[in-house]
Amino acid sequence: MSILSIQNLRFAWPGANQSTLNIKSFSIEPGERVLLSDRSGSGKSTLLSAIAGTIEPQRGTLSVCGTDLTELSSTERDRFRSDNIGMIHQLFNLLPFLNALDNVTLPCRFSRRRQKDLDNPRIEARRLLSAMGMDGEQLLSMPVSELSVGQQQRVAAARALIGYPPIILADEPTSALDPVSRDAFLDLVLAECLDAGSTLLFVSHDPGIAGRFDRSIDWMTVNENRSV
Amino acid sequence: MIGLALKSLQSRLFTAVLTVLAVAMSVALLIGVERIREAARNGFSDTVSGIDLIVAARGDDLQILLATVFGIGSTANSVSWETYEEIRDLPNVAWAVPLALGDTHAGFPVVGTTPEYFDHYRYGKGRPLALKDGQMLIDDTDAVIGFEVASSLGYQVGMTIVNAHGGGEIETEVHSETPFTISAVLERTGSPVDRMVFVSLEGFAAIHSEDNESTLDPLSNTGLDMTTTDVDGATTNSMDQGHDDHEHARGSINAIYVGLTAPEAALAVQRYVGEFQAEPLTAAMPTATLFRLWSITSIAEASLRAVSAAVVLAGLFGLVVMFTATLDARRREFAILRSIGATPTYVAGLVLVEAMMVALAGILIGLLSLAVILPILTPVFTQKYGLTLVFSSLSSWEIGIIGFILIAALVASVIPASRVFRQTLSDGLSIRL
Ligand SMILES: Nc1ncnc2c1ncn2[C@@H]1O[C@H](COP(=O)(O)OP(=O)(O)OP(=O)(O)O)[C@@H](O)[C@H]1O
Ligand SMILES: [Mg+2]
Repeated sequence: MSILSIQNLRFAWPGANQSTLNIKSFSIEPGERVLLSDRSGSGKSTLLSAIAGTIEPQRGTLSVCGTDLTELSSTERDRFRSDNIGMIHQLFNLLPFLNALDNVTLPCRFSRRRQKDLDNPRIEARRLLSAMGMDGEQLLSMPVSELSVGQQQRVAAARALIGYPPIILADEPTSALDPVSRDAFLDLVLAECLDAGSTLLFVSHDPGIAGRFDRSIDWMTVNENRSV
Repeated sequence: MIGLALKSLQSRLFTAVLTVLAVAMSVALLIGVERIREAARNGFSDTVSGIDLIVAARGDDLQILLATVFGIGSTANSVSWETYEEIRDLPNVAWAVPLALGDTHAGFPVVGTTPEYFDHYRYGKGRPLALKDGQMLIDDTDAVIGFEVASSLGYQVGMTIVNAHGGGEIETEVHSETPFTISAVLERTGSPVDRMVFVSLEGFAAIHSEDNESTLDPLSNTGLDMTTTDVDGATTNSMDQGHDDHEHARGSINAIYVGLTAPEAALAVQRYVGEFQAEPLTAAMPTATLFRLWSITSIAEASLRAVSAAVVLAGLFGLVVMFTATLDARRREFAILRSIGATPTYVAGLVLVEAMMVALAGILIGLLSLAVILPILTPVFTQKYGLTLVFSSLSSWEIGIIGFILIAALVASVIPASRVFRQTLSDGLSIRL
């Protein structure tokens, strides 16, 4: 059974006269690592929001891990998200007043499943951060607002990966990294997914990384509504 | 949740501290005012604590109390010496001190009495009067003066003063023939005694025995009563009601302080005095009479409370402003929390917890600063007004106020917190330019 299955999905932002998402059928198998690429503004981030349940599609079904998100209440979606989805936002969305460690361990507060699967979130957070080249007490204990953009991006990635969520959504997570950091980052994300058996949906414009994924999809062929 | 709320507050330290201070100030003011009010009441009660009854010519209890204890106004009539002796010899009466009233010296009330006055008068927590300097009243021409009289007029033991006759600010008649020598200055008590001049009954009477001979024309006098010449006749006339018919003959008094053998006897003695045959009398119970005074001053106290309540409202308003103003800036913070799994209830709870922390910190700092400031102020208040400010336990009214502040802070933060529920997640997740 597909871990992600979308049928006849339509979504339009409030006030927009065209729907941003118009998907007949799209699915991803468990454990698959998928790269999604297309032009800017084509609705990739919107798709990830729909999968994460932070927006509500107007029509169609969207089931993740066998649960139809369109049938959940907003509180149920919040809980579902915190248990099942690790998301790296395009804009990171870190809490600026917390340090790197606190930001990474934050999802464990809200997800009982992640709490159960992790003995010590802080040790796990250190492991993830140091695998991406972020070591040193000082770096980990200062507010993330004082980190560089690339460092913030890696904190966001570690926060998505912590607690082995079944689905990782990554929205252009390598845009701020140099090639060396980018490769270390990819190594970690791919290894973690393999380790935990997580499914990965990775959005990127970077042409050099397609070979590292199981499948590379041109978003244009999936989304039928072209708003751009 | 508390840790998170703390860190979030910390990132807005400046506004948070200002808000805490606003709440702290209002709490300190409110309770400080309450303490001073309480201390004032206690000070009054302490002043009359040694006296069980005050007997005077039939009149209003409150007027008798004010005239005798506080030296404000005068009693209706005089009481004969025989009446005094009869009351003094009643079985339930432990002691009785006669008082002759109605004169002032430089605006301070002059009281004619006997040395027993100093034995029985109590102030503060049952403390007797003490001498700062000199010896107690011996001779007819001796005067014992209160601390404030001495300090404000620059009087010392051994100096000779001249007394004026008649109550009121302005001295209408100067009895230059009857000088008094200051025999003693009393320690500061913080009670009305500080503002009194004590002379013997004979000395008091002597002031007036001359009245018959001297012509009472203020304008013909020189010296001290030059002030009177600035005042028109109407003022001078109004003074007359203060000393009716100059009936301060030797042996004639205006009031009697009575100490009882047992407090239970008060009602019986009061009734006996009320039905006194020889002349119409009233026996006022000082503590009970004070309650009547409170009912008058409670209007002023209520307005004082209203002002401090307004300050509390201003402090709470600051709290609402802070939470509402920062809410827009915090949409993103809330959206991020929600995107990683926090429920709207959790986020709203976060806002409420924050409000509680700010309010609690404000209350604590307010109380702490009171605990620091009151002991510093106490000596000043004791010296100046004889008030003892105590910062012990909180009264139920004060606990009520604190509870009200907490609840008000909670209500104030409900408005911003409820906005969390109306925001959609995507509202906060993308940066609005
Ligand atoms: N919060 C929002 N409110 C209203 N419209 C939005 C919002 N976010 C995106 N859109 C609209 O949806 C469309 C798709 O945006 P989206 O961010 O999904 O594109 P994208 O493919 O992720 O682009 P990029 O590669 O630049 O990140 C855009 O035309 C945009 O105007
Ligand atoms: Mg995007």
